[in-house]
Amino acid sequence: MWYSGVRVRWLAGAVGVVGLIGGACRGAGSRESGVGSRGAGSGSGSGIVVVDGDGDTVRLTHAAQRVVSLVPSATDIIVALGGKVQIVGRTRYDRDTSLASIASVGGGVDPDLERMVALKPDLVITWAPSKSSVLREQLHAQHIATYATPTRDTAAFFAVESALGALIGRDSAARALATAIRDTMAAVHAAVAGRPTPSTLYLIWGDPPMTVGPHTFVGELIGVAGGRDLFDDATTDWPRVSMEAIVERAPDVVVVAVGEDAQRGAERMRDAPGWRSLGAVRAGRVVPVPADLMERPGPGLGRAARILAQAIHPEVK
Amino acid sequence: MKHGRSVGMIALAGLFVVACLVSIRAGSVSLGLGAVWDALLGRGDLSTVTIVRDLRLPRTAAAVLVGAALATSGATFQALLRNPLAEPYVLGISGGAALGAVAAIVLGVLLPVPGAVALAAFIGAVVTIALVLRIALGVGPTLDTRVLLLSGVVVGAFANAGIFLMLSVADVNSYRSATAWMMGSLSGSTWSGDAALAVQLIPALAVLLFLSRPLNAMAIGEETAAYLGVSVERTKWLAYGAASLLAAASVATAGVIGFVGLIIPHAVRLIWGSDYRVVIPASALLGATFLLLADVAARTIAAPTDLPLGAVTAVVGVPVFVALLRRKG
Repeated sequence: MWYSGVRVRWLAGAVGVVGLIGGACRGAGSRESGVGSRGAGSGSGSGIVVVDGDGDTVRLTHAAQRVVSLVPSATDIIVALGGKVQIVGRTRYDRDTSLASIASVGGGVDPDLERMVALKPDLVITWAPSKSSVLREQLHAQHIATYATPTRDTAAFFAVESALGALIGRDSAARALATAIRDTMAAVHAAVAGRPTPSTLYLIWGDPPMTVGPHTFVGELIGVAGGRDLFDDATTDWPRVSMEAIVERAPDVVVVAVGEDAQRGAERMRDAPGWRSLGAVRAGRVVPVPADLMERPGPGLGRAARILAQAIHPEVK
Repeated sequence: MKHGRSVGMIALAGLFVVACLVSIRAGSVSLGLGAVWDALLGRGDLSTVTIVRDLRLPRTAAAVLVGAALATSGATFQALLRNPLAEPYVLGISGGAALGAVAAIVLGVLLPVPGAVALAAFIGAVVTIALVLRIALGVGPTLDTRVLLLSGVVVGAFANAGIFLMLSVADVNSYRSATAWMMGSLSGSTWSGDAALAVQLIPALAVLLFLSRPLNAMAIGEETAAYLGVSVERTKWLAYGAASLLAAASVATAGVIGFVGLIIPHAVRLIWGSDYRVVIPASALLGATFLLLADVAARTIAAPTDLPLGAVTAVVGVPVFVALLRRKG
């Protein structure tokens, strides 16, 4: 339901990027471009009411003061909104050293429930979809509110950002951050507007090759940065693709996500049959980008767009 | 009978050739015969040349070698252990190979050099084979095939436990690579990998063909075989060694691909009877043909996504096998 609405918007809009930037130009008050309009909003009298990624209504009587975040991008958003003091629990995937003093509850999908309950949270941020998750039931049985975080595209990011702002009582900071990110994306897009759009292969991981579909936030950011997703016809969001299909489609640019462990995948990629024959590889148009920044729909979205634009259009300063 | 058998074998050989051609032509990009020919000669579109020469040919060769190796290995184990459920993987070989491969991927113990994962898988398989033999020999003076089977199952279970423990601490990317490896794929095929496989496959296949008469006698029973003048212990050792080597080499190349080693020998026996002088070469040929076609399906059905070959072999093979069983029954 939530996703299909987004997809319809994408299919209906002639060029998604134009819609996105259009939303940005209308400024912070404009909510049409994000699904957040359905939920994000707080009434001082009746408490806080938002709709999460599962389409469920989340109600809080007061702004959450003890939040356990199981979603690293949501953790980053809360920190960016100045709500670090309200976070009491994080996952082992939150690698930012400034969060080291906050208790870890383990993994994001398989957290330690006992440790979570012991932290006495008033809100737990979970991954969407969570409808069938046992964790959600267990938390609700303990009368702990949950917010399921959609992470698919940029519209989902803006919806989450706005909803989290409401839930932790930092609406105005949320509006300011959304405006700043929309402005950055609009500026990035303006700088590359009118230029040719090189076909861009974004490699999340090389073994086996895994890339991004057009309706993911990374796929959208490629468009913002003036490129064209090499697999913009993919029917899944994070497709595994064959080397044969990559060679046949002959990308102009290859963007490789590298991180602590992705580095190894990128190195192994170099030995994959067919890799060296790629025009982009021989022309030296293989650009490493930081995986942690690029693959989290968090407050770094604007910076991610800028990095992609530099990779795709190095001629634009 | 003899005449019908040779007609059948010629038909199978013809099917094999057709499968090879289909494998080179089909993929996420479908090519005409003319385009394939040009690409083989290095003419025409550069990306087509790369696809045919660097990707499809080594992959087709790998499908032939792995399919032949798995099916022959399965046929041998079924004769040796006198158990219709025996296959390369039941003796723990796949588990050991997978443990080696997952260790290399997750722990990153090996430098990212080409073939490091395949090498680790091969070492894992060989260590497992040695361990299974050691356990089986610890029980009695001769190689008891029932004990061999049991120790294979136990060592395989131990390896699986090790894999789960490692995956539970793996980071997300290693997890992806490890699970993709365990589902089997020929997408990483290279000429050097194919050559390494062929060097092991050809002598092992020759040994097994040489052993087909003793294996016929062994399939009836070890005592009968001994009365018929078969040196039972030597046959067991040689056959076990050759079949294990085939399994280890193919798992190292292609990851875990089930079903081929189990079903292909049964299909051969259903069609041509259980004379191992026929079962061994026919299994090799039918296994190669089957894996070629399964890999074509894996490459084309969801293109540009490569489907896991280990899943495709079962999805394609089970209905065919059930139909074959019903026809015979």
